[in-house]
Amino acid sequence: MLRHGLFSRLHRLQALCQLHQPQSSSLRLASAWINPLISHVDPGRAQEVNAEKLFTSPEVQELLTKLTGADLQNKIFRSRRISTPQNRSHYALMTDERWEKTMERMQEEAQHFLQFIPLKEPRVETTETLIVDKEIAGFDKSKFVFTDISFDATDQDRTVVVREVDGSLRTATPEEHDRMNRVYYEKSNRPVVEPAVFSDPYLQDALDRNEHEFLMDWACMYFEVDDPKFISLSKTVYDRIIATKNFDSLYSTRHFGTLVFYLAINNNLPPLLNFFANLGQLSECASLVRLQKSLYPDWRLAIGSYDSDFKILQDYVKQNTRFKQELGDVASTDQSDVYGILKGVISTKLPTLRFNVTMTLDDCFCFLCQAYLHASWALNVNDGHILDELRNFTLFRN
Amino acid sequence: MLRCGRSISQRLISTSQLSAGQKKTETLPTPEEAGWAFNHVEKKKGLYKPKHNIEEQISYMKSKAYLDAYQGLPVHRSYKRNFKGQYMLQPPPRLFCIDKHGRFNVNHACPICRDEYLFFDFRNPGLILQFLQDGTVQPLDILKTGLCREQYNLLSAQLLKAKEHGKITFGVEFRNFDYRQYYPWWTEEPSRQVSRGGLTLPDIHPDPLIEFDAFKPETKTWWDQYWLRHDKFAKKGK
Repeated sequence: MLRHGLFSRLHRLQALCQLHQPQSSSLRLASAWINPLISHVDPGRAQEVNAEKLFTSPEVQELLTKLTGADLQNKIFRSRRISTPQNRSHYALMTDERWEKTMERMQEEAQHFLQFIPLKEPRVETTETLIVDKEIAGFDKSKFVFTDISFDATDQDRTVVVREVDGSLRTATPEEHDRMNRVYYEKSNRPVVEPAVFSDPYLQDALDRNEHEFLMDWACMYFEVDDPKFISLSKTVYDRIIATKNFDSLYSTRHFGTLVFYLAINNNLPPLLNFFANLGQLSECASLVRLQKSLYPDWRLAIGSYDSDFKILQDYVKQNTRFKQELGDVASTDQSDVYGILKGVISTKLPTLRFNVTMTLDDCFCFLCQAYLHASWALNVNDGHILDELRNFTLFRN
Repeated sequence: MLRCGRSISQRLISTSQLSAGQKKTETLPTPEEAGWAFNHVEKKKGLYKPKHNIEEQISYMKSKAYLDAYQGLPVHRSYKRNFKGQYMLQPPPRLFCIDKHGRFNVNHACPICRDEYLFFDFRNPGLILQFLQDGTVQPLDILKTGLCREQYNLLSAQLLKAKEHGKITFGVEFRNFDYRQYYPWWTEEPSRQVSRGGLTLPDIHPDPLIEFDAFKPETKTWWDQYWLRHDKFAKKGK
C-alpha cells in the first residue's frame, strides 16, 4: 500500500510538472524553433508565436502535407539496407489497369509513411526534491538511481528517482529518465550511449554523403521529440540544408514538413521558393506563401479568395521587396528570387516551345524577367499571358 | 638451420618495415612506387605482419595492385580453406592467425590476416561491406568468409562502430506517433500503425490462385487395373 501510495504520488507529481511546462507562458521565451540567424520575423512578433499550436492547426497540416510530395520509387519505398535477409523477390504480371490500381494503393500506403514528427518545444529540465535525509549524507561517492520496472509502467510515466550523495532524494531529469528507459528496455538501434553520428565531425560527414533521411529517421527514433538535443540537432540539419540549398535530400520524406514549417515560421521563404520553382511547381510555391501568411496573418497582406497561384506569388514578391527595402536589406537577393521563380515556371511550362526557340532559353528568361521587373503591364498578367508573351517574343525573334 | 633461416627472414622483414616507416613520414608514394602489396614470401609462419595505418589501407584498396590481386571481387571470394572433404564437414574456424606477439602462427592465414594492408576499421566501410549479406547489415557466415574467430569478432565490432558513426546506413524502423500523447488539444485517432518492410505485394495486389476445371478429366482409366491384377493374368498364361 505504502509503495503504491508513493508511486501514485510521484506519478501525479510528474503529471503536474508536465502539465505546467507549456502553461508557464507568462515567462516563456521565444519559441526554440525561431532561429535569429535566419529569421526575418520582427522580435516582438516572434515572442508571441506558439509553434506547437500553429503546427497542429488543420490548415497548416493540410498545406504541409501538400508541400511534402510523394516520390514512391526514389524516396518512400526506396531500397534500404535491412536487418535480416529478404526471402525472395516477388514479380507480378499485371494489366495496365491493374498497374494503375496498384500504384493508387501504393500512394495511399505511402501517406502513412509521411506522418510528420510532432513539433515540440524543448522540455523543461527541472527536478523536484522529495526528501532530504541528512543522516545518510556521504554514504557513497556516487548517486543511486531507482527505476520502476514493474509491468504496468510505460516509458512515459515510469518513476525514476535519484538519491544524491548529500542524502536528498529527487525525481530524475528527463535525460536520466530516457537513459534509464534505454538501459532497462533495450531496443535495436537504441544504444544507451548516444551514437557518434549525432555530433559534429561525423554528423557533417553523413550530411556530405546525403544521408539526411537516415540521420533524421534515426534521431527521431533515438531521442524523444521534445528532447532539447533532438531539437537542436534537427535545427542544425535544417540550417545546413538551407545553407547548401539541398532541399532535395529531405523532399517527400516525413521530415520535409517540419523543414518547411521551420522556414515559414522564420519568414525565410526564398530558398524554398526557388527549390519549388526549379521543380516547376507553381501551385506548391503558392501553397508555401499561403502557409507563411496563415502563420503570420495580416489583413494588409491577406490573400483574396479568388487569387490565382501566380497572383499570390506575384503579390508575395512585391511585398517582400517592399519589406526588404524598408529593412534596408541588400536588394540583390530578392531579384534573384524573382528570376529563379519565373525561370523555373517557364522552363517547365514550355516543353513544346523549346523546339521553336533558336536563341537560348536563358535569353527569354532575362527578357521576361526584366519586363516583369520594370514594366507595369506585368503586374496584371497570369500564367497564360506570360506564355503568350513568350510565344510572341520567340516568333518575333525567328 | 631452419631457425636460423627464419631469424634472417624476420630481420629482413623488420628492416623493410623500418624503411617503409621512414618513407611514410615523408610523403605517401603510390603503392606501385613503394613496391607495396607485392609480398613474395609464401610461407609466413613465424614471420611478423607489417603494420599499416588506415589511410594506407584506403589508398591501397584504390590501387591497381589491389585490383590485380582481387579482380574487383570481395577479398574472401578467392580464398579456400585447406581442409579435406566436404564443405559441410570442415573443421571449426581457427581462433587466430596472428599470435599475441604479432607473428603468423599458420602458413595459410585467413583473407584479412594474410594481406598486410587489410584490417577492419569503421573508417573504411568498403572493406566491411564486402563481408555483409546482400542488402543487409548482417555479416556473412564465418565459414563462408573463411575468417578466423579473432577477425570475425573484429568485423562485428567495427560493423557496429561503423553503424554508430553513420558510415554504414541501415533501415531504421519507422516510429509511429500518436499525436494525442504530444498535444493535449489533439483529438484525432492515429492512423494505422505501419512498419518498414511490413508492406507486401499480396497486401496491395491480392492475386489468389484460380482453380480451373481440368482440361482432360481422368475417366475410363479402368485399364490401369491390369497392373493390379497382373498376377492373375500371369497365372492364366501359365
